Amino acid sequence: MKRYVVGFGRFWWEFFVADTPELTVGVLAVLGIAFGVRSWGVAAAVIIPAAVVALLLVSVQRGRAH
Amino acid sequence: MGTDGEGTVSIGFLLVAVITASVVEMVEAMTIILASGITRGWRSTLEGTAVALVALAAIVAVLGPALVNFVPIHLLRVVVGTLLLIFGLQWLRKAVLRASGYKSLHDEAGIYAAEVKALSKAPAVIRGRRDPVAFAVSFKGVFLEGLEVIVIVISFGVPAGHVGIAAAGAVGAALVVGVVGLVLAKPLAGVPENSMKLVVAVMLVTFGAFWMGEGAGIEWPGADLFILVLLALFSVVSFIIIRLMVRAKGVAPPVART
Repeated sequence: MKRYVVGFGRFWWEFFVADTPELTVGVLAVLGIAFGVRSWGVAAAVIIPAAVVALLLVSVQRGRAH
Repeated sequence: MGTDGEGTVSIGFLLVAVITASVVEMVEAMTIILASGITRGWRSTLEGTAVALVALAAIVAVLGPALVNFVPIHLLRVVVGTLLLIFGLQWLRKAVLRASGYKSLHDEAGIYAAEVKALSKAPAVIRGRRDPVAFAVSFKGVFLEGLEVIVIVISFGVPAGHVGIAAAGAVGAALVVGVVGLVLAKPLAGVPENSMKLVVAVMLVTFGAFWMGEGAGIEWPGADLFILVLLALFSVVSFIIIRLMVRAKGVAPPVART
């Protein structure tokens, strides 16, 4: 049973995290920012896309270095 | 999801994203099915494919209505938006690295040749018996590639309230690719997979950011029409990153055909 649970967890880990943990952690951080700035109006609509772009740049840079 | 006009924008993008993703993933699955069928025989290969398709359909049938009926829409958009953003950024990162020459392009013909070589080495089975290798390879290939489509169908369809349309688009695209692949009986290397994956990735990131923000309580200027702003932003940013990386590497960009 334990083997199946571990296997199941590992499958989804590979599916959503794999070799890009910075994206998973980064998106969760963006989610936190979204809750923090949700009442900021237009500023929130600038901050969230900017954070996503920054995250993409970091991850691409990491992939390029590897 | 806003007015009818804005909803039409969402449905249009939803269909484009789901159909494109389905075509890309189905082309990859077809390569595995063809390699297995031609090398190991069609009976077990098609059995593995059928079981995988039933499993995928069961996931959509159970998960789709359960999410729609039991999870509040704001929570759903937060969860789905977050997953979509993670998934989309993974695809976009890979697509950018491929387009700029830092990662080799997805090559169906090469993958097909490698699969055929590997499958040929597996022990043969007695004629008339089920071939566990062909069954497992085709099941795994179809299930894994299909799971990505399922994630996209559910992620796009459920928050927009159009999971049926999304599923129909994916099934239709998969059927067309499946029939064409089986009729031609060779990998569909001519499909511009890498370019298509880049387009889908930008759309996944766009919808992921939009729904995550909306679920968190952000009021996007222009409501659903802000999707177009995000789409333009992420498209331009991806294009600029690719151009800069190509220039930094000092080589010609890979052919965008595949």
